[in-house]
Formats: sequence, C-alpha cells, structure tokens
Amino acid sequence: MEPIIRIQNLQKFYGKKEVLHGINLSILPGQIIGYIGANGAGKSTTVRILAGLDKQFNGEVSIKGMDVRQDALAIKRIIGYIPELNEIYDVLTPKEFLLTVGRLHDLSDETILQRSTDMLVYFGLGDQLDNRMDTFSKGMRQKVLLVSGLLHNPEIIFMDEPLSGLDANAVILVKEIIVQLAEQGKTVIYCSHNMDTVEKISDRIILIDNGKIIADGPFEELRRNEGDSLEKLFSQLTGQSGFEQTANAFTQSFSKPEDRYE
Amino acid sequence: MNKLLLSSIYLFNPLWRSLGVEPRHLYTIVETKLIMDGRRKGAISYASNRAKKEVKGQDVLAMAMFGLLGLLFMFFLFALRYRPSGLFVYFSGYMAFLAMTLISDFTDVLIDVRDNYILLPRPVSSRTVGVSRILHILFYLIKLIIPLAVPAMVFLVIADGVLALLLFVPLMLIATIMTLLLVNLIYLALMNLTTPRRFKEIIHFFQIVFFGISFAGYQLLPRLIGANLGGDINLLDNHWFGFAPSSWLAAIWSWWLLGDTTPYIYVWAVLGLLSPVVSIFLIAQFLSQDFNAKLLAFGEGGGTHQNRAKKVKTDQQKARPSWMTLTGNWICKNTTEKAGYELSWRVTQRSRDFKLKFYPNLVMLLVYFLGIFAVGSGNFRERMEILYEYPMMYLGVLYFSALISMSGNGLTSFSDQFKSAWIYLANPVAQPGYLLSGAYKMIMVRFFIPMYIVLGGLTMAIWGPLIIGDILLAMVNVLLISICSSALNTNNLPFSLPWEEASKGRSFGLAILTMLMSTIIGGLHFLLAFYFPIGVWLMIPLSGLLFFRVLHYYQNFSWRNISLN
Repeated sequence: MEPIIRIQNLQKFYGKKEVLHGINLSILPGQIIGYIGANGAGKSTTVRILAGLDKQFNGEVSIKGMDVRQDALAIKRIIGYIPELNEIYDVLTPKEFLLTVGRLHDLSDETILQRSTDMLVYFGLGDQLDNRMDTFSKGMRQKVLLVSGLLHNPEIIFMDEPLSGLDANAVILVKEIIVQLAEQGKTVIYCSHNMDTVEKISDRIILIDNGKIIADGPFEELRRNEGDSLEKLFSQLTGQSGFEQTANAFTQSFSKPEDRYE
Repeated sequence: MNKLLLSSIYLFNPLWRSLGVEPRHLYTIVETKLIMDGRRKGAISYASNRAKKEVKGQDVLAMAMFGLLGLLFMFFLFALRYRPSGLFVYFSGYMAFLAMTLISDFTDVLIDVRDNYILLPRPVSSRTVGVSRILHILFYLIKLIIPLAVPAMVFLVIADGVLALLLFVPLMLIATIMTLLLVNLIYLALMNLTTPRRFKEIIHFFQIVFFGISFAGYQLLPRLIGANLGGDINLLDNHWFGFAPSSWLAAIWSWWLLGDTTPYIYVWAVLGLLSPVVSIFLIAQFLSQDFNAKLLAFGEGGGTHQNRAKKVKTDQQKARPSWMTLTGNWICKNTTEKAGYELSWRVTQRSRDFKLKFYPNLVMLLVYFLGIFAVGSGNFRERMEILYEYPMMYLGVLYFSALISMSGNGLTSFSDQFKSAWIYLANPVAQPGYLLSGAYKMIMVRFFIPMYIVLGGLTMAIWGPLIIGDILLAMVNVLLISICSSALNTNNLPFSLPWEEASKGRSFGLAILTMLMSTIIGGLHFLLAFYFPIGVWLMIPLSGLLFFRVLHYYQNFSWRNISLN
C-alpha cells in the first residue's frame, strides 16, 4: 500500500534553535497514529507543517504524493486540522463560524447548516448554535473546533490535543468518533499527552523527543514487558525516571520548620 | 451598509478571477470580518462595548458619530475664513484622526494571529487572503471617511460653489492615501523594532493617547482657535508648516482656486499632487510585500513556540525593594490587606482593560486643568492674571480629582479573569474587608496621591503658597469622599466581576454619589475658606479622623457584607 503521508529528513529551526532534527516517516491510509512527546518535543510543529501552516522548513513533506509547499491548496481540501490552541473567532456564534469555515471548503450553505447542526447536537450544543462563543467554556469551544475540522469530511485529520477541556462523556464520544473515522478509511494523526487514550485507540505510536523520533510502532511491539503501560514506556524512552524519589523529596518540603504571621 | 459593500464584491468577479482570487472565498472572509468588526470593541466606542446581543443599526450609529466628528472638523473651515488656512487645519485633523484610528482601532484586526489557525489550514489561496485584507481596510475606510467628509462637502458647496467641491473630493483622497502610507510606515517601523507582544502593548498605549488627544481636541481646540486665530489669518505664511503634508493640500487649493503662484505655494502644491503617486508606488512596490512577510512572522511568533516568558524582577533580584513593597509594608495593617494591595497593584499594572478604562480619566483631569487656561484671552501671563482674580477656581479642580480616585476604585472590581476570584474563597480569609481596603489603598498610593501632588503643585504655582491649607484639606476630604463611596458601593472582591457588569449602572450611580458628596463637602470647604480661613486648618485633623474611622469600618467588612457572584 502507498503511504498517504511521507516525510523525509524534515528539519525545522526557530532562529538558531533546531527543533526538528531530520525526521523520516511514512504513514499508511486508514491508520490512527498516536503522536506523543513531552512539551516542546516537536509534535505541534510537525503537525503545523503537515497542515500547511508553516512552510519554513528543510526536507520533503508530501501528502497523497503532493508536496505541501507546492500543492498546498489541493492538500488543504483533503485534510482537517484541529489546533491545539483553542483559537477561534469567539465573537461569532458556532453557526456563523462553521458557515465561514464550510464556505471556504466550497460546501453549500444547506450542507454546512445541516451537517454542523447535526454534529453540534451530538456534542450537546444544539441549543448554543446562535450564542456568541465568547461566553463558552473551553470544552464547548473545543467541540466547535472539532466540528470545524471534520465538517468537510476530510480524508486525513490532524488533531492536536483534541480532548483538551472536554468532559468525560465527550471524551468517550470523541474517542469513538476517531475509531469509526479510521474504520471509514480516514487517516488520523493524533497528538496528545493523554497516554491512556493514545494507548487505547492508536494503531501505531510515534514517540518524539527533542525533535527526534525515538520509537515507532504498534503499542504491542513497543512495550518491553507484559503489563507495561504506555505511560511507563514513555518515561523509560525519554529517560525520565526516579519519580518516586522526586515525589518523596517534594512531600518532605513540609518537614522543614514553618513560620506564620500572627 | 455592510450588505451594500459586500454585494459590490461580486460586481468585480472578472477582476478577482484575473488576479487569482476566488470571489466566493473573498466574500466569505470579508463578510466574517465585517460581522466581527460590528462586535469588537474599538478605541472610539470602548465605553459601550461588550454588548452580547446584536444591536441593529450599529453601523448607522457609528457613522452618525463620525458625522458629528465631521461637523467638528467643519468648524475649522467655518472659524478660519481664509480657506487655505481652514483646509490646512481641517486636513491636519483629518489625517491625524484617520492615522490614529487605523493604528489604535484596527490593529487587532490586521494583526489577528487567529487567521493563521482558522484561515491558513483551509483551501484558500494566499492572494484571496491578501485581497480580503485590503478590501476589509477599504470598507472600513469608506464607512469612516464618507460621514466625516459630508459636513465639509456641504459647507464648501454652500460657501464656495460646486467647483470647490470638485477639488475637495480628490484632496480628501490624496489625504487618505498619504495617511495609509504613514500608517504603513509606522507599522513596519514598529514591527522591525519590537517583538509581537511589545508591539501590541505600544498599540494599546496609542489607544489611550488617542482617547486623550480626541478628548483634549474636543475640549480645547474650538476655544483656542476661537480666541487666538479667528478671522482671515493665513497660516501658510509660516513656512515651517511646509513640513506637514496637509499644507501641501491647502497649497493646491491656493494655487488652483485662488491663483496664488508664490514660489513656495507652487512647490508645496506640486508635492501634494505628486504624493499620491509616490505613496501608491511605495506601498505597492515595497511596503505591502514587506508588511505581509512581517505579518506572517508575527503570526508564528504569536504561536506557542516563540513566546518568550515575560520576566518580572522580584524584590530578591533587585538591589532595593520595589515601591509597591515599601509602601505595602508601611500602610497595610496585616497580610490579608497586603495581599489585596499587592494583587491589585500587579493586576492593574498589567491589565489592558483596566488601563484602557482608567488612564483616559487621568488624561481627562489633565485636560480639564489645561482647560482653565483657555478661559479668557491674551497671552499666558494675561491668562494667569485673570485666573489669579478667581482664587476659588482651584477648589473645583482639586475636588474633581475625587471622581478620578473613585473611578479607579470602582474599576478594581472588574476583570477579564474574574473567575480567578475563587482564590478568595479557597483560602482562609477571615475578614475580606481587608482585601477591599488593600485594593483601595493601592489606588490611592499608586494613582491618586502622585496625581494630587502634581495637581497641588500646579495649583500652588498659580495661586501661591498661601493656599497650602486648602490643598491639604481638599486631599483629606477627597480621601474621605472616596472611602465613603467605596464603603457604600464596593462590596465585590477585587477583580471578581466580569466587565459586562461595569455597564449595568453601577458606575453611573457611583459617579452621581461621588459628585454629590464632592459638591457638599467642597461647598462647605468653600464657605469655610471664604468666611473663616483658619477653620480650613482646624478641619484637616477632623476630616482625617473621620477618614480613618470609615476606613476601619470598611476593613471590618465580613463575608456577610460581600456580594458573591
């Protein structure tokens, strides 16, 4: 099977700082990729490059054989992007915001309204369609962002911390949606700190640390011992250990003498 | 108005397509931006912003406001009968207003990094996004310029005939193009010299200055022009004005309609005629490309990766404790009050909303003070002599400062991060009154007292050292008025209410109460100073005692006195 995403020797610099050190990746269609790493490891930067938001990089990046720099428009028609930053035009209502996004994908207003209303109802926002989003909670905005990324039925979906701010029921729903989208043949690149979710839904896990891929494969292949969790694996691979001692030192802070104002 | 402007987009479909712009995308982006314009807060209308409900005819209202401003500008044409002089002042005011509006009111729209996350991942060409930005600015300008220009156009047709109007319209156009060049240059200079975060801070500073200048202009200019210039004076005689592009426009008028062929008028007129061509060339050839590149870099800088932490020096890092720590240690009674004092100090120091709402009040006080000098006529010395004959005038200014101190106190209840007020509830605060008094003391120490020292100093410089007793009594009385007003009105913890609440009549009630108290106490002070001057000195300790009594009462507010939202 032909890879749907191909990354060759991807390098990215912020000023003089190299944040991606020559990444190589091939992703097959219909997979759920769990893209994990510590804060600042380079996850969001990779996804921003794939989504066509950042064209200042070295190396080759192609989606369905199209170069992300040369064929940006064609690529953007087939991808959906859900950003990490909860960025939204919050003075708009969900309906207005989704109409804008849908029209930019050349969907008819009827289709946009029909689809976005259905999707928002499933997320429990059916009664919020005409309310301005500057009064919304973080979770409500995240639901609108999720709908905006899926509205045009993309083939490839980039999700950067999609569960951020969601309540437990919405988390279950989104996880199930991701699984079913993959079953429909869509490719999902899923960035998250939530190891539990990544472990459960991903076909393949890619671990990035300091701009380098240090592990790549299905969870079953990656774990070293029976019973290990992804969380433990993550700590081992990123060289972080001794949490028990650190926690112990932390709690010992209270044993030092204290002084209070009367 | 928006519908009319938007429907004009489709009239140019062949043009858009030839430029590689998709008309439907263009329409969608501009439509969305115009909706957002209608709901965002601007420097001009920030006092009445934040209405969540759509107000019908808001555009018409805004245009009516610009129309009123246009009337004010028209006044220059009316007051200065020699037309080129009037036009010079008119175009100076117009260009300054347009530049400041674009910088202060429109920057957040132009430098909207959310575009990078919302528009860039969609299948929209960069040309479409670029043209949408230009159209957005153009529509914004149309809505601003037409109502501004109409009063002057009507006046010129009546006063000078249709030919004058035919010349005035292209002059307005030239003035607009030159202003765009100027704004573009300012943007680029700032973008080159500063970081994205600092850039926005500078722009916020512009907003405050803009309000101050608008207010000062509204209060002072008509009086000054009426008093000093009047009549048939030819301002273009002053060759230094040749450095102002507005003089070139006035020179075109002189040369074209009045037949003035004085060499310098001729040179200025040529400069005026050439300037739009040169401006358009510079904008199209160099500045717009550089601007787009910088904007993209700003967008990336606004992301997660390059945000540099804003470092704040702690007292441990400084050689000496800060003014906040020193004063806090000195005037706060306990740690709760000090917590309220320092929290309020830091938040007001860093909150844009607070600065935008409070600092213009300080400017307003300064302008009122300057307004005193606009009384009467003559040079500075003559005006001072007139003022000296009205010794009690300073009492009005000194007591007016109560309104400023109280508005500061009132504003400390509000914040964008009002939900963070959970900290008061989650921590063992036995007497929340100390949090309130901490915030009150902060306003007094940080804003009121320094401002009052300046005001008192200026007052003493005019009316002499004998009025020091009045200055001291007025200060103690203003402290008393403001603490009474706070004790009666402020029962919300610092920064615990959303800004929407500020527009629900609280501030109005507070202002009326403060004015009433100021008038009564100020009136008593006046009577005392007039009939029993020694009583002024006797009243200082009495007022002081009363102040401390009310402060003590305020500090003892319990949770039952606090309104929790």
